[in-house]
Amino acid sequence: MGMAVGAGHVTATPVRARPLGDLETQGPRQWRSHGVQFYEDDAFLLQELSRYIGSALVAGDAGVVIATAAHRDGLARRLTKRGLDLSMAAAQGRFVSLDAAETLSTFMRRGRLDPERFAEHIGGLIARVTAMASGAPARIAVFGEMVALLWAEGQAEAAIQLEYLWNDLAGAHVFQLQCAYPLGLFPRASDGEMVEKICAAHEQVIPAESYTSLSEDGARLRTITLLQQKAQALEAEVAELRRAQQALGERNRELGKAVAARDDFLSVAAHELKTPITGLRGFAQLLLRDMRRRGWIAPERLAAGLAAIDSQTEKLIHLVARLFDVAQLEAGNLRIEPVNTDLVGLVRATLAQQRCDDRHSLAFDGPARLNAMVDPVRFEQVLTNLLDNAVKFSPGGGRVTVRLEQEDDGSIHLSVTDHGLGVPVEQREAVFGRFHQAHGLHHLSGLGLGLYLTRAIVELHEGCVRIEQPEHPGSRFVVTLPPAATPGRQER
Amino acid sequence: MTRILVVDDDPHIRQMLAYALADEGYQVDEAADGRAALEMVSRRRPDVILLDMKMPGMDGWEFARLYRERHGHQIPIVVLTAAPDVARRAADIDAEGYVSKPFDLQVLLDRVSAIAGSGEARGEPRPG
Repeated sequence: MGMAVGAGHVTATPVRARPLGDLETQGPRQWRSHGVQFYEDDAFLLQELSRYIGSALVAGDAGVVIATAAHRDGLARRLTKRGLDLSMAAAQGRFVSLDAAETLSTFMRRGRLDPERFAEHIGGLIARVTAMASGAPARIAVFGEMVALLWAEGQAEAAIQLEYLWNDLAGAHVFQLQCAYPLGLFPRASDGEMVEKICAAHEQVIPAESYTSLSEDGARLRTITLLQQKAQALEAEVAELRRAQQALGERNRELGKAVAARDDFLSVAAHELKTPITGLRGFAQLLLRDMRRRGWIAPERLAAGLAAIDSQTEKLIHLVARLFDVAQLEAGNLRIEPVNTDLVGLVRATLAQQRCDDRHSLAFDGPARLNAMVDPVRFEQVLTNLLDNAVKFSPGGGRVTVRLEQEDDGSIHLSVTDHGLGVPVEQREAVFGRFHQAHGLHHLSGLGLGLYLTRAIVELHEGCVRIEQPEHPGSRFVVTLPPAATPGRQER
Repeated sequence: MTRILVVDDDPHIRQMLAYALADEGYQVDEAADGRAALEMVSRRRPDVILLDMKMPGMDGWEFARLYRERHGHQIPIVVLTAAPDVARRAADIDAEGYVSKPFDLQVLLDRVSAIAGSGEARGEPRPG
């Protein structure tokens, strides 16, 4: 019967952490322990390992090494340098050096550990070397890094399971076991959970050399303090990074949306430009054919062609002007030149020019005269955009009313009300966005710039524009200019 | 005589196509949107439909869907569109051909004549 070396077992008195090589000096009556050594540098591990295995071999006891090829070679060189005859010890059955990966494969099946084969294979090995060791009690020093290998391969659960298989084996055999993990295997803060599990599976945990190489308690306490500060600072920094990452992710999604909107816009703009060009090119080719075939053009054809050229070029001019406005706006170069303007006259003139089909009627409601400091060209553009919008989004026709009124405080409201499709409440902000188009109504959408420019121009006048629900189905766009827009008020 | 139905919301494009097609000896009907086109088709059956896609009211997709429901593939459809993915749009409605805007008049007339000719050659049944 042996002392259980299970997961829950903790020695009653805390043992001061010592490097692996010191284990020989703490020998209990029975040489039984399961420790883990963390290390930063291979040379340090090999130095400790050669003391650990070397002391057992020198005493006539046994050493079992299940390690990587590099560590086995390094260890053999160091032990030989110490004057140990390894081939002799091996011939006596007291020294066994096995490759970690190969040994692992003897009890792994389809990526899973086979506990029975492990007990059979490794237990048999321990029993064989125990029989050859001469100490009383016999000391079997085992070094294993199959666990580190499993962890390095991403098989975290299997690594922990193997640690417990070793603990189970300690119920049937008496041996000292040292595992070793390079600290570099745990580069992430989230690896802390795994390190905790590894520590829990061992009786004894030996920190890496930057701590254990310190010989004096004062130095160790200073190191602990520094490490605590570092841990806290890192935690704070990680949290900060995470926040920054989140912000970046959001920004990235926004940019992606902006790029998609721009792409959509470009394809819509191309479509809008191609339509008038189709009429222009078609008529030009038609008239040229007539000239080539007959040497003359019928007057009504010529008139139709010229009318097409006139109206389609006007459409193109309008489109290009809007594109140019947006380019100016994006570059921050859109400017206004406010002058004292009679808004009533401006509205009446705009209404007179407005193209309108017979399904719609335009009406004006307002005072006889109302002066304000506005850029007349840009303000007419605002009204034209709102009127175009009202007509476009009331395909069923109806009255479009422009109302102009002044509040007692001097602020001015210009509203355009239609009996059309209306704007859903949740869309009332979005419609003013750049490139916004009423996607469900793609045949009605133009470039998606009208309302964007409208808001920009109104804001250059220090006013605002919003959408209201009129008393009837439809929509009402309200432009509000501040009292300062009234001539004479600015100076007060 | 071969009859062509031009469906486009742009009056200038309709008028220009009407002149050009008439010069080639076709009879031409016009419709400004899908709804008018559906009425026209049931009134006077054309041999080829030239169909714009983006139109107010009933657009080209809706027209094509309703038209196929009622008449299947009796009359070939040639899609006229300024959209960049014209081939895909034509495939969407299973059109017999497409021409992208702005088109070369001769290319359009050749396409119409090829499709009108093959329609005749197939000898499809005609109602009435």
